[in-house]
Amino acid sequence: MSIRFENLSKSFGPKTVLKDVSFEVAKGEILFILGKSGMGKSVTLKHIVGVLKPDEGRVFVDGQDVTRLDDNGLADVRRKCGMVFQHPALLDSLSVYQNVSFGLRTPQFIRSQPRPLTEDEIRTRVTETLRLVNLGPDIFDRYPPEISYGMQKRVSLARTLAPGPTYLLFDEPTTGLDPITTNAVNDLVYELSRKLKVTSVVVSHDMQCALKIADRVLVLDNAGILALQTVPEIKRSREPLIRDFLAETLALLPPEERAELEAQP
Amino acid sequence: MSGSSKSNPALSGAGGLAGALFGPIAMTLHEVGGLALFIQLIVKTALTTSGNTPAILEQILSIVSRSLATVTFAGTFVGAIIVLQFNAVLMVYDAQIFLGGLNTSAIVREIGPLMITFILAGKIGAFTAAELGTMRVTEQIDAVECLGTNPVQYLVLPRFIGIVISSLILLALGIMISMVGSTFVAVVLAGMNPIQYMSTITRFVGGWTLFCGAAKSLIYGIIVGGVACHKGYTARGGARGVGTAVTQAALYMSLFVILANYITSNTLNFLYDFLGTALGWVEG
Amino acid sequence: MAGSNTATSEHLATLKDVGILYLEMGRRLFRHPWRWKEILQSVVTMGIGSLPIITIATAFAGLVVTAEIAWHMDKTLHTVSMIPGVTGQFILRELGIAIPALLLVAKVGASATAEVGTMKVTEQIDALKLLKIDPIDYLVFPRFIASIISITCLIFFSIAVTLTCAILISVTRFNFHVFEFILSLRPYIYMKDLGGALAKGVVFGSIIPLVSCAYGFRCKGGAEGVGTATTNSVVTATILIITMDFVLTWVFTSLI
Repeated sequence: MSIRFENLSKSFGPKTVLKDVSFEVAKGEILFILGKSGMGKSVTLKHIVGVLKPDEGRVFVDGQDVTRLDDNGLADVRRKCGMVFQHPALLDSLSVYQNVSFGLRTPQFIRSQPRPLTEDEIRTRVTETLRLVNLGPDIFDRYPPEISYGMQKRVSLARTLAPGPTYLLFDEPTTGLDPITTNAVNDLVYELSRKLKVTSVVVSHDMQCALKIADRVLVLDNAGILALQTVPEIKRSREPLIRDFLAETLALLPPEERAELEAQP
Repeated sequence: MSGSSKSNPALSGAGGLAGALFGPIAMTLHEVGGLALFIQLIVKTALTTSGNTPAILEQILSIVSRSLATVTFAGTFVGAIIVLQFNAVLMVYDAQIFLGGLNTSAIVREIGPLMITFILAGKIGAFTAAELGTMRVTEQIDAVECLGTNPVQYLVLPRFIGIVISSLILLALGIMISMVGSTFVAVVLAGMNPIQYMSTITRFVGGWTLFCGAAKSLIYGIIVGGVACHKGYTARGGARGVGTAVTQAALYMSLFVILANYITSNTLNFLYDFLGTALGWVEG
Repeated sequence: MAGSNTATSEHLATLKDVGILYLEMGRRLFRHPWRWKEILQSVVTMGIGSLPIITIATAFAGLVVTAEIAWHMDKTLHTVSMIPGVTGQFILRELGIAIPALLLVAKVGASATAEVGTMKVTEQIDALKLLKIDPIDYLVFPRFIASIISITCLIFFSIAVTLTCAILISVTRFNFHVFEFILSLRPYIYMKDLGGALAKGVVFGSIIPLVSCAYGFRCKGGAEGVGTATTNSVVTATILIITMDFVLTWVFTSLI
């Protein structure tokens, strides 16, 4: 059971973003989708939760054809796939507590449970989820504009985790962040994937993150798949684009880290 | 190929002119179509999802309280301006006695709804477009949808209904304030006797006039709410996109209200002529 | 959005900025040579760009108002002979001016605020200053002149359009002859009405660009800030225009 793309094509006006793309995400893996800006990475992700519908082709989540589902069916898929957006996208008029518990109060989440959660149960879930992202209950009553950007990103992650998804979809989680926060977010993605035993799909243009934590890497270029390989295979790739990506990435690393990465199989 | 527009200047000139004439008309129709579809979506959502009455009441309260000051200000000033203009004209015909009636009738039927609508559009409409637009470009609307809530039901519906209902509430307030302003100016600046001023009001303003004013206000409220929510909800492209959404919302709210004004005025007058002669109404 | 309503102190501070901008404009009026090519380009863009919408809006407004006034006159005074005089005067003094002014607040004002505001939050204004370019010289003054010229022209244009539609409706619905209409209109057009229209055109044309730029320069906070600034500029410009409309109306009807 996993996510499968079958001959997906999508254009926006004259621009063809994806053409005849097919691949499968293995259960429990961390898959990075890389590519230059505008090559269709976020578009791919949005097809999984039905935010976008393809021009041609189909997308299967756990065997269900997502492209044929109506809003009710999609609600179930969205519960299974937690999407973390590029922006924190927290609702400014709600407190941190209300934001994180948002997904636990929606009608279709309640429908998916044997009975609605009590307020205490919600509180417990929120506290646990915030702890997973290294935040404490002291920020329950703060509002998004009052907390730092890094904290907002973590609260946003907690909000996605609260309903307990089996897939995590990240849309450029580290874009625009400073190197220290980038590392922290990376580690978090890795730990959560392993700890919660979820399948993670990460859209990024950060090759360095991919090399560090990915199981497999999917490279998109010219509306198609350039490569879908494990990290060791990627490092040995002969494709000019990938070699450029790698060279750029390795050049930016300090010598010890570079040696370490190059030494890995 | 002889006769093609490239080799026939007359044809290409005519083509260019037609383009210039039909371009804006086509664009306006396109916008109207977009708005109609969006309102259809709103209505469908309202009928198929559970209500959110506390949110709606909260919106109404917020909208009315934010608009109160502007309505008071504009009501007084517009009432003053209109009464001065009417006075200048009526004095020429020595028909000043009609000032009270004509002025109040004009305010209830035309000026009041238009003024309230423009205030609503400027203060609340633009703000709503900005609010929803920001939520759209920072992906909050996508997030709400992915977490399993219908964003139209949760975000758009309370704002839309709030604007529509508030337009009626503010119309009532605006008319009353306008009348105060008009009366004051008529008496103080134009030297009219207040009793004289009020005497013609009841002759010109009756149930039908009030109905016209309310109906127009309601329709304009739907336009303001619809355009503002539509433009905000469909904003794209970061900070610039939010700016574009607000600008377009402001523009189309104004334009559509003016077009609707034409259609509703004609329809209401036609109805009056049609029903009034049958029912023997006499009203200005 | 919690707490996103702007405080009155913020509005007052921006109004002070508008006042300062007026003074800055005054200084530049007589100073260095104007950048005519750029200004004329802006006039054309603003003017021609707004023509379609002004035409549609004022045409419909003209049709409605004439129909309404005529209908009222017919029902109450049982005479339609006064229509040309009454509607003509109303259009020249108020209708032909207020409608385009309010639409232009949206078209010219809101888009100017959005543009300047986006430049502010993407730090382009700071970049200009670092390049020793005065943002007021570069952004505000050309808009100011272009706005006054194009808005005044648009107002006269819209008066013409509205009058044409008034004639149209009178001819088709109330059996006027075109010449009959124009002849009965002439005695009611006074020089001071034309002067009033001109004055209002210049005043409104100056308010819109300065208010929009003032709010744009003060913009902060990304997408949300641009939205707030644009909203505020539309509201404030509308209020100022209504106020000045009253002042000028009173001046031209009662004082002159």
